[in-house]
Amino acid sequence: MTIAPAPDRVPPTSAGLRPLLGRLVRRPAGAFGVAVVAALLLVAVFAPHVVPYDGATQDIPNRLQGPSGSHLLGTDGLGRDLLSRILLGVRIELAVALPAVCTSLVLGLLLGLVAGYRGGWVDNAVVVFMDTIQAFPSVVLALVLVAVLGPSLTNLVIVVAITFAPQSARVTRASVLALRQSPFIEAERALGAGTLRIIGVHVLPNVIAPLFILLAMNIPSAITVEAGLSFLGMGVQPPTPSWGVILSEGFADVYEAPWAVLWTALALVLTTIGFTTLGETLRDVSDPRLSGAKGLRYDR
Amino acid sequence: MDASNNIGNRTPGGLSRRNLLKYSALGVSLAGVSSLLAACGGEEGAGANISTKLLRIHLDEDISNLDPAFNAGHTNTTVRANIFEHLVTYRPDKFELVNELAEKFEPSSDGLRYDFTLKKGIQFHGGYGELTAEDVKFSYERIAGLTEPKIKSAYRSDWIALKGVEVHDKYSGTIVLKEPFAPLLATTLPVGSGEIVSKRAVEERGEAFGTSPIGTGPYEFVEWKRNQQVVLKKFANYGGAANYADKPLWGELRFVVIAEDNPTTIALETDELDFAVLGPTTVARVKKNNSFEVIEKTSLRYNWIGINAGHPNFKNKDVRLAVIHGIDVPSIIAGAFNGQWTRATGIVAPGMPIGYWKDAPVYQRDLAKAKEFLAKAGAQGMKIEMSVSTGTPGGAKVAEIVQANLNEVGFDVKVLVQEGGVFNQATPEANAQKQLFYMSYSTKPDPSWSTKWFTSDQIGEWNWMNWDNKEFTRLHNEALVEIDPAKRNEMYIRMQQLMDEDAVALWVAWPTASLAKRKGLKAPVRPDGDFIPWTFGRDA
Repeated sequence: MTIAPAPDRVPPTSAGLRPLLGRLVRRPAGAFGVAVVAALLLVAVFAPHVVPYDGATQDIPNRLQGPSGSHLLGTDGLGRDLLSRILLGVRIELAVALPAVCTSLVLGLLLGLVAGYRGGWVDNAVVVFMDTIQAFPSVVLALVLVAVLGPSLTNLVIVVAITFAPQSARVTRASVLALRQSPFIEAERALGAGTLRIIGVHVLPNVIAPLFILLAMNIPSAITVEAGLSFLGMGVQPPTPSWGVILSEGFADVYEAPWAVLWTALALVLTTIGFTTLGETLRDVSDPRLSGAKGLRYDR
Repeated sequence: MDASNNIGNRTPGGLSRRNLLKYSALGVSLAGVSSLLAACGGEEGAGANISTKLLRIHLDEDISNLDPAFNAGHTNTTVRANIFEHLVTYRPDKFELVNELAEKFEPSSDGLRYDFTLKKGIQFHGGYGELTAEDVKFSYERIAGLTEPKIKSAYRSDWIALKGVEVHDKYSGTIVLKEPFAPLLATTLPVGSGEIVSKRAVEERGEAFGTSPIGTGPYEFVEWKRNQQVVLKKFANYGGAANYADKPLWGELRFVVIAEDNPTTIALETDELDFAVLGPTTVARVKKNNSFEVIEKTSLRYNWIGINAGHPNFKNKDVRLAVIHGIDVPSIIAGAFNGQWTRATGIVAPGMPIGYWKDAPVYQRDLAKAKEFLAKAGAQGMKIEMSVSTGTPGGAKVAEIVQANLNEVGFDVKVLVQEGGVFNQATPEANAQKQLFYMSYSTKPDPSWSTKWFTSDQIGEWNWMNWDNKEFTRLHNEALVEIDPAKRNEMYIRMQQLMDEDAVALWVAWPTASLAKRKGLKAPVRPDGDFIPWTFGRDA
């Protein structure tokens, strides 16, 4: 007689995600989050084709202008169009945040899987390592890493990835620890399945879903770290229109022309709220305790 | 019926409309009279309103060491000027020498001997006794590296010509030089390297002297809280050597450390400062503030874009000329410094007593010419780097304007905005890597202080252009021992011509020192923007 594994969690499929998306947009917060994120993605893709100016051309005689018909959000300290620079900045923010957070998830996933499944001294070593990284405030850790690696876009991605990896490692490890003793894993093991098969076929699909929520939640944090580092001159280098660079340059002229700081800060706030509400709602609708349906959850 | 009894004619507070109008009219009249009185009295009211208990002065960076031998930065100088005195010094508002601790001060005609007699009864702070000629000898010979244990002062070059100080008796002596040294009376004796310390205090305190200094000045050191404040209090036994100024007025001088420009402005507005150094972006706002006045002086400091002639990219003079003709300096001054700084045309500012080159060329941006030079060098599309420090005000904007200008010429410019510690490494390795850089050097009222960093022996240290011009170096050394001001003037102009001929720098600005003072405060300021807080007073 064959004992059929009875998974208590179902890996999400495209068919499974569709109703999830439906539940997501039915909630106002979810719809807002989806709208903001979709708008940001559209801007990131099409900004170079729709911005009124190229964002790099300087017009010193018209520096620090307020909003007007020719410059809807005004101009910065070198006379560049602020609307164009902020829209082009979306691409830079996502170009740092998306690869950085994805890399951090992959790193964290691998470490969490190994630590959770293997246990023993490997688990202890990974936990101590992750705790050490997490002991530093993320911006401080990032500052130290940038000081070592040097400021550049690539290094920024690496730095943010390292800074955020422990979070996904902890989430993954916690899920694996719970799964490791599950009856269906025990059954697989009893049937002679190898470690790689168990991890690849049974554990991985069950731990990967919460990481999607983490992805949405971490992107605004990564953007904030990027903006912070660029503000301090340790991130993206001028004249690349990263939001941190625009904020840093605008701060010098904040009394004369608060526009650069005001609009960029609003963009940052809107992006953060958009991604965070998306992540929060995603967690809520996928939590069986909250929605009454089988779904995804993770403990933060 | 009495109108005042008419309920409907009353305001909720019980005041009738008629009375309200009457009181309002009275108030307006009183305000008018008070304005008139204020106008008649000028600043009288403002000065009388300032308490003499405490004067709060802004420092735009923290101090590090108050020992004159280990001077490191302008804020140390600002604080020390209240603690230490000199044999002779400048007046607080002009470059005119006056006796301070010296009763008599007489140079010999050959410029090799300077006889001095001290004022009697001058006391050191902290009970360290009376000032003697031995303290003068120790102070100067110590910086020159002639005392034991020998110290290595960064300012030893100020006393490079010193043979020794002969002490004749308790109050008199002679400064003896190996050769004439023109800057002695300009940038050695009247300023930091001429400050007299207590020999006993230095020997007793050692390195701690830098944070517990003992001088004879009108204020003595009380405390230093790092990155917060430095406090000095009026010295009860002050000998009164500085009789060229009014007597010290303030009970306490408090120096408040605020590094950024915007918080400094806020501190002025919230009544936490009486006097502050302003950044170019905050001047306009402070000028609108009725409680403060802004003093503006074109400083002797010089800001420039250096071209590392030792770097492979810039060994060809045509490439350097493409840079010089390709950059729009007026745009830099407008964009990075709010149009408030004076365009520089050389290393010596007009306020310097000698050496200003008034016929220096003023380069206007000429894109066609710049492209021509670049084509002549066959360097179109050359990848170059422009580095600036995060600590230099407006530096990032300068770099971005240079980048935009030179990309139009045909360069491919990468901007490096570096943290101050990285940017300011004065090592041969770091210098070799620099290409274009934006830099700002402060100086003192003698042009030798400006030219000393560009001699051949400074390559690998502060001569970041790696510019090796033997004639320049020779002229610098000769001008140090030439005591005829007219001849020196010609020599310094020739040195600037040499820099121009070799196209190693594009002069950008002589920054304006903008200082905010509370109305009613009398604040003498030197032509270069330097000031001595204890000499501040109140308008009569």
